[in-house]
Amino acid sequence: MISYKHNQDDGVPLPDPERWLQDYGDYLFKYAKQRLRDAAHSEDVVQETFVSALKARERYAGLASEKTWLTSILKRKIIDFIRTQVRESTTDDIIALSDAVTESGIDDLFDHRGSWIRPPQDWGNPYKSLNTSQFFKAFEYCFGRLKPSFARAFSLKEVTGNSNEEICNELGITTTNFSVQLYRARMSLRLCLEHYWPSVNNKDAK
Amino acid sequence: MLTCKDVSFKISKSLDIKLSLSERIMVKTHLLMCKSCRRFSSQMQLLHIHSKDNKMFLDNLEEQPKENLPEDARQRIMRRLDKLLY
Repeated sequence: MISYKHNQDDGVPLPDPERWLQDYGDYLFKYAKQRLRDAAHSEDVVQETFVSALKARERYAGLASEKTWLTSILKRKIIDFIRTQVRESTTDDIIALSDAVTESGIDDLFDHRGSWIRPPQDWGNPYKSLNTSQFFKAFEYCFGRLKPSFARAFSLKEVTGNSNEEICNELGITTTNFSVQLYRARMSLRLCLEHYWPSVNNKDAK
Repeated sequence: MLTCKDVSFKISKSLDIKLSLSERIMVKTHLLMCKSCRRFSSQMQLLHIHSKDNKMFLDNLEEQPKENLPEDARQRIMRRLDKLLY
């Protein structure tokens, strides 16, 4: 592990940004890439993080470690990025995967007594090593086809791992409203996975 | 009595916030009797990426190649920051 220390001993400390890049560049990049799963976008959010940090340098009170401080800025940048990305994609011709799960259409999944019209199938055990990557592929495919508003709710919750309060403050919506959005997102994802996850057709599945 | 529809919403909600005691009892009771909702419940757990017991997604995230910030990106960022500084 290479340690980049700035040359305080020589009396010539590097300016902050240069040291930040050396000390935290890789860490922040990995953090972003794990969540955005795209190198170019991750580079962008890391750059934005350093730009914001530089502008806010005077306001950094030194209460949190530098790493924590930079990571919190990065988290915000990731959320912003997901939001704009989802907003932009609404203009594309995205067809919601299942018409059954439209804004008002959860009802179509249940009969008049509130019972399942198509009961959930057995998904087997995707944790089995053979199935894991397959399941993950199916998940990514289905996630990519989610309605943008559902995708946004789901990413903010599950991809960033933030608390509901944080997210609701961010979006300016109530927690009840957010619960409903997440519910619809999950219902859509589930329905898609039930169609596309190949191991559903496994012999063990009934 | 809760319907499957009610239960499906409460199961989703339970991934994000703690249900009240009475809600939990009603959901548990329903699950005891309803195989479809039990399946639904385990499927929801699977989609709950950041839950502690969902190792699958977290492992999968970990397995991403341990790439470092590419050199050209590093230089581009440095140039951008230099512009701001001077």
